[in-house]
Amino acid sequence: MKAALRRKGSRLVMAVGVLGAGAALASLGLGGTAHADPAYYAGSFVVVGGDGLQDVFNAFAGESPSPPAANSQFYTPLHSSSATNNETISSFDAYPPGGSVTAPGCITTKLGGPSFDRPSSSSNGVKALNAAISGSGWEASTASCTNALVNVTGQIDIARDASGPATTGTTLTFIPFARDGVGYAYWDHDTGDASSLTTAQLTALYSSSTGSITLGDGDTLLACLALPGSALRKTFENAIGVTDSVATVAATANGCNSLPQNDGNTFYSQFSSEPVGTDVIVPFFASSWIAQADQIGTDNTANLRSAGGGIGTIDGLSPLTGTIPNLVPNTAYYQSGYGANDYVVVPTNKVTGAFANKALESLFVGSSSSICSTAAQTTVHLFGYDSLTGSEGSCGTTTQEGNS
Amino acid sequence: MRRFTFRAVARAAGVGALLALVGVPVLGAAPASASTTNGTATVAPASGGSQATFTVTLPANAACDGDTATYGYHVYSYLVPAGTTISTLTFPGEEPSTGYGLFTSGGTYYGPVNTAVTTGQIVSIPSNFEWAPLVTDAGLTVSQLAGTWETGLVCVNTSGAVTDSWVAQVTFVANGSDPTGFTWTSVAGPPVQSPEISLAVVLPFAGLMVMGGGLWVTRRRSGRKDTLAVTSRRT
Repeated sequence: MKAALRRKGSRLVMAVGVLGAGAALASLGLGGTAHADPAYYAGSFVVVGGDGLQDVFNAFAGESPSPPAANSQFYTPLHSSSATNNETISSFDAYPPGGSVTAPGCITTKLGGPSFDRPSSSSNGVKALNAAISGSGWEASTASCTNALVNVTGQIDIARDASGPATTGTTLTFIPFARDGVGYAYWDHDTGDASSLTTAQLTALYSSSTGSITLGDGDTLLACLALPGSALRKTFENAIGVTDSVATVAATANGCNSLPQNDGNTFYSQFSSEPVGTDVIVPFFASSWIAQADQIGTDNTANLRSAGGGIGTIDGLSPLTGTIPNLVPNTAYYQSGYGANDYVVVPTNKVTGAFANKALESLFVGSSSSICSTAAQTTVHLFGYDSLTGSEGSCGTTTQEGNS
Repeated sequence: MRRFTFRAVARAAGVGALLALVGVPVLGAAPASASTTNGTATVAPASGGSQATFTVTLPANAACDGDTATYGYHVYSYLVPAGTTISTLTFPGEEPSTGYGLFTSGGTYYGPVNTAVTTGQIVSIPSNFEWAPLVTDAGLTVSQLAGTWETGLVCVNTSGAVTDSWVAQVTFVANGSDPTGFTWTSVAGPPVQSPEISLAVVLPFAGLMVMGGGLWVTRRRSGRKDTLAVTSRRT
């Protein structure tokens, strides 16, 4: 009897085993289940970088000034061809709404992505894009909100850049799409001499170890600079033929070596209490002045304008013509030595080779690309830029490469 | 003492079978914290012309070892000749070091893509993949493409190493009536010689063999006892 029970027990254990093994075998047939949620991936290309270009890129993304803003206007978003699934762009400003490039904070650009330092200039945008490509991590050199390198692979697709390649190499492709003019904004306490200067005066001013020169009316003119590394600063220094190290001495002497780019209000706030007879200037992009004054971009210059400040004439050429809200670029100025091309910067392997992104190419590569279309160039002009002509280069070309 | 040994054998058979039962789901659907190597990817639908759109599905809750937001893991796609060791792939410049990948119908390579926050789950797989861009955009000829490849998704950590992988096989055949000149068929999962399938098959069968051994020993023991009893009664 006991033997019989033991046999039954053993059979029971083995039956369980057989069932278990059978279930295990059956489980081999289990496959994946379909994901019911729509895919997020089809979204848009993330753009970061230069603050001077942020307004026109906001328009390319569909709305400028970026919200919250009572005067936002809406535009047909720049998009790739229908054959490439109509992909669009998401442009992140160089500074947060109501904020400043000196405290840009952090951004999260894609669903599920990390929080990382907002690139606050063209050069920072290019650096962050390089970090995305290499996987080496990105952290702003000043005012970091992460205080650590963050892996931004997959989080940044494009950089806005107002200065072109800085180093040789092939990692990045700089695609020109518009022409800007660099100049200066002034705050003049006296007779208005600072409103019109010559290149020789500018060179002397920014080469001065005291950061000052005396103007014809006896006023003292002080030199300031935009954020180190910014395209605005570099382009201005190149135009007047002064190296950054020399210009830094001049601006540092006046305590204004690192002013936010294209921010007339901060500039005015710092120098409005200067005594009569002291005038101050800071580099400024003409396009940004036009967009702000015409109220189609985020206006950070209203206080300076209200106080009588303006954008200066150089060598007898004004960067702009017309009156607010219909200011337009002065093409002669933009074609002078103070003109500079603006670029979309993309990883070279995304616009050439087996892994070229067709949607990205549709947006930016070639004269028939979206950004070179008549509609996009109309928007470009509205925001204070000229279309490229002649020796300035051709919209959509991919011949300029660099590593930064 | 000998009787105890026979019981232990029988019990071991049951335990072996139960372990097999527990072991298979662990291999088949890795939790977020465990790496998955050569997991099953399914191309759906399983065949079509060059311009047929498809998606890739993974086992439920398929996930990377860590998420993108905190740990920097990313999801990439790949397409490599059959026999390529997936774990050796790297993704410099946000593209595979060798081979190709999955492209959307618009010609966009899939990767790098973020995971879900915290869980690391793979959540953004498009439904409009297409093979035609391999020829029309990526520069492959149909004759280069013809044959069997392995495709799927991988997770890559911040060091650039593949930590998880899911694979399906796809075979491309030249076809003159197709707009791009080829058609394809797919089989879910990795080749049969890969560890995941072989373990999943071997483990339950090993349990069965142990059970069979236990049964044989138990019956042999019972037969001896019966023989001994008969002998004893005769004596």
